[in-house]
Amino acid sequence: MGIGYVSCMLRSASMAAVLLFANASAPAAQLAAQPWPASSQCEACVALQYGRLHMRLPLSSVGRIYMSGGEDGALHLLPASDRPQQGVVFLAVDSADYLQKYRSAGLLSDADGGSMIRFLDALGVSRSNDEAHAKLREAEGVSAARHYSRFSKDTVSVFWIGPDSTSVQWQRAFFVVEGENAFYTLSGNITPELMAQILSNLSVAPQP
Amino acid sequence: MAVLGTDADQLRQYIESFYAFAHVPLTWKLHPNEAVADVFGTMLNEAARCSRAIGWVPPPPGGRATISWIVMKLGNGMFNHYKSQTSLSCARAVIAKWGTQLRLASMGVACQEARAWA
Repeated sequence: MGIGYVSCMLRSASMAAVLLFANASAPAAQLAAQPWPASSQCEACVALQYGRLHMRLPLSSVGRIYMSGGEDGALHLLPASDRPQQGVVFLAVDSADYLQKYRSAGLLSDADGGSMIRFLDALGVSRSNDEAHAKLREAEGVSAARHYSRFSKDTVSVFWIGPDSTSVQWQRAFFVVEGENAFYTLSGNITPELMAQILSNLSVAPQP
Repeated sequence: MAVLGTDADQLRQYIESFYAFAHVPLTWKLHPNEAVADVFGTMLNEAARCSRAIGWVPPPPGGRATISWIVMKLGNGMFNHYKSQTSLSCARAVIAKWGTQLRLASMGVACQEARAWA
């Protein structure tokens, strides 16, 4: 086990405490800024890039990296146990298409739909007497989430919709890079440890 | 608006089974309707193409799946056959891609989006 991995575990333990207990009694998740995990040395790591997201993940936590669906497919990170049902999956999504889905349904105002960042920020605030906005929050799973957290560093913002009260097995996070037409989603069993590992050595790189 | 009846109940069971197959908890209330069938049909098709599953059915008439079409195509054990040829990872990726759309449809919110049957 590398030093970087131990460091990730310690950081993520405190992150977990913040995320799981600070909002445990909140009736509806509100967006909360969280500190970006400090970068760490990670020698026993594998470097991988999905789109422009460049990561270094501990070999001890990634059993297999699998690409499904062809050239524009999804990137699966399977745990060391190699149980795909415990893994997470990255997808690249066109921002304009994603927002248009809500615009066409009459749920998204121009102000909230100006960019993915504005959309995701808007999801983090509950508004009384705004039925359309409430449906947005419901559809994205924010209204039932235990936490909704934002991490920002340089040109990258990550919005993590935490688990609801019934299960931690399926959560989602949005990775948004300023100036990009697409964003990335991460879905699956996102543990605080995994999120810390991803963020602590995340950078934006040109496609090789 | 939810559709009542045996076919709608059958659609609900197929969706619940698909999510269970993918080990994704369906934590929200599912209201089956024609829009839900449309989105779920796209999910079935994309998961089959991703898995290179053999023997999946041709596109539905008009390119949009309906409740009756799904019930007809997945009945008589065909859904179990479909799942046996479908990759769990592909199913999870499809849920990651279309899950929000399915939920919107279940909420009775209509969205315009191109189907992926081509």
